[in-house]
Amino acid sequence: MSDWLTYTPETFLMFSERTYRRLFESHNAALWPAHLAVVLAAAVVFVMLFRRAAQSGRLIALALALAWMVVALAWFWTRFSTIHTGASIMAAAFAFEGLALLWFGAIRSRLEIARPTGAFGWAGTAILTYGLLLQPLLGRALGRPWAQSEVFGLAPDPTVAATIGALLLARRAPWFLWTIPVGWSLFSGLTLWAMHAPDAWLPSGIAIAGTAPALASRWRRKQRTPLNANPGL
Amino acid sequence: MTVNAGAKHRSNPQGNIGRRHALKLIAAAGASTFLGRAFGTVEPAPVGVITRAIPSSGERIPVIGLGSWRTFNVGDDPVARAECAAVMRRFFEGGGRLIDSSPMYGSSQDVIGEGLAKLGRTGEVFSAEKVWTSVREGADQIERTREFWRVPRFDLLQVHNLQDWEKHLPMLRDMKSAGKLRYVGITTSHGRRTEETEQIMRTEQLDFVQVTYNIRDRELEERLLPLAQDRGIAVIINRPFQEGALIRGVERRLLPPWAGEIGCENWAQFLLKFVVSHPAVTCAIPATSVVEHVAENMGAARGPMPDEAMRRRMIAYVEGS
Repeated sequence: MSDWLTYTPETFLMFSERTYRRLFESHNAALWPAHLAVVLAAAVVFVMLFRRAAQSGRLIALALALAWMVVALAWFWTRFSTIHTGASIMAAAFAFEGLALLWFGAIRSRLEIARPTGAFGWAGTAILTYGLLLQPLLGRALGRPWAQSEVFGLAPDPTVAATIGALLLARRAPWFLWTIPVGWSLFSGLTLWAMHAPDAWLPSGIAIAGTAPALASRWRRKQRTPLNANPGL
Repeated sequence: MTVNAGAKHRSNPQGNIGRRHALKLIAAAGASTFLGRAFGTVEPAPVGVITRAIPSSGERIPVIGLGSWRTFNVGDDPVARAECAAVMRRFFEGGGRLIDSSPMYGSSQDVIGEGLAKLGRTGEVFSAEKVWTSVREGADQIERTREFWRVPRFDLLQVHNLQDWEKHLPMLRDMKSAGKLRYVGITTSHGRRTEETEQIMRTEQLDFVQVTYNIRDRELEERLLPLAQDRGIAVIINRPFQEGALIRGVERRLLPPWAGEIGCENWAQFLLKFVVSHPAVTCAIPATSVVEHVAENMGAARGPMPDEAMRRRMIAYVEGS
């Protein structure tokens, strides 16, 4: 039997589900009452989405950028590193995404968020809403205590989900902003699957629900663009 | 070798041994001597725990040890750390000695060291560790690991997953020569790199090899385990429960009624006794973070061991599930 066939997601799982959940519990306890500020920020992002303020895109990008950087430092570097030998690499990746969102979204204003319309718009809104506000409710519905909630801006999965929703709503978001959120979603899904968690499908499902419309939209735009209109050809 | 055949005997209320019972004991002693010759070096420890000899030294260690992959990686959580210490306490109370860890196991090393210090068992443990890094950083990693464990020196250091074994093994042998280490070994798991492992076993001086073996994964019976016997290499078995999958696969079934003949009261003991009854196996290292489970596991280090016919019966029963 080839050695490669013996590797499964479980092979790389370094901790039990109980340890993983309890880590969120100690994370939340250590950061409380930062949750109140985070919920407020999430509500502001949500309001900005439906108001046609000129700076909506910048403000949403700024909130997302800060969330990614807080997760990099507070979750991966400080907390997750106690149970995962690769946490510092994950911290670097999340910090990089935060800086990229800050530069391209908040400073250069290249993350213009459209008011949700059509199927794609509402899909993006649903994913964004889930990441910003609803993920803790799902955890509770699955029997996890409130103390172990995963909260936007403090935990990776809801932060990534909110970002995928925002990127889906953005007009022509730079492709590389998708890379780390999608990569994390797949990794998180495999981790949860290895732990036999009932919501293991969700991160990957969100990544697919986010990227498929974005890729379809990009493909349609290319189809509509006449060859001779492309200065690169 | 002798099997712990007398573990289940009961004398009469007056404390006298009747003639029939005495004959049974003599028969059991004869049978255990026969089984001992057939199956290696099993022998009861003073506390009734079955031990096996490390071929290179003759030192005896209990056949059940304690792994720490995943289960002891609990970070800084004080509650979970206390639970791990409770698992270690029960392990030592059950007669266990060998605890195995690795730099790859997150916070496990520090959790073990803290638990040993808390229990006052630092001098009692048979410490089995690994080196898992580049050659340049190997010595530093070993020293960091030793500080986590809070032990003066390790009993056993193994090259984890054969990483840079060509260069790590000479370093470990130098440590052994200098009295900074007692035994040298290599590890692999899940049946990976078996041919390379066999090649190293043939050509290098090893005290231990650690591999994966259980009632479903028995490929090593063909070559590697006999080779370990031929070369006088002690064998540590990891993943005896296939990381829990074996237990999950059989736990809905009742134990066969004949499991009592080999002193098994639960599936964990059934599966562990299969592993440690192989004559080449020195010690199995099931991992758990549950006190009740470690108590069950330690039960596999007591009582009669299955003979070859019983081992075949055990395989047939599990594979029929």
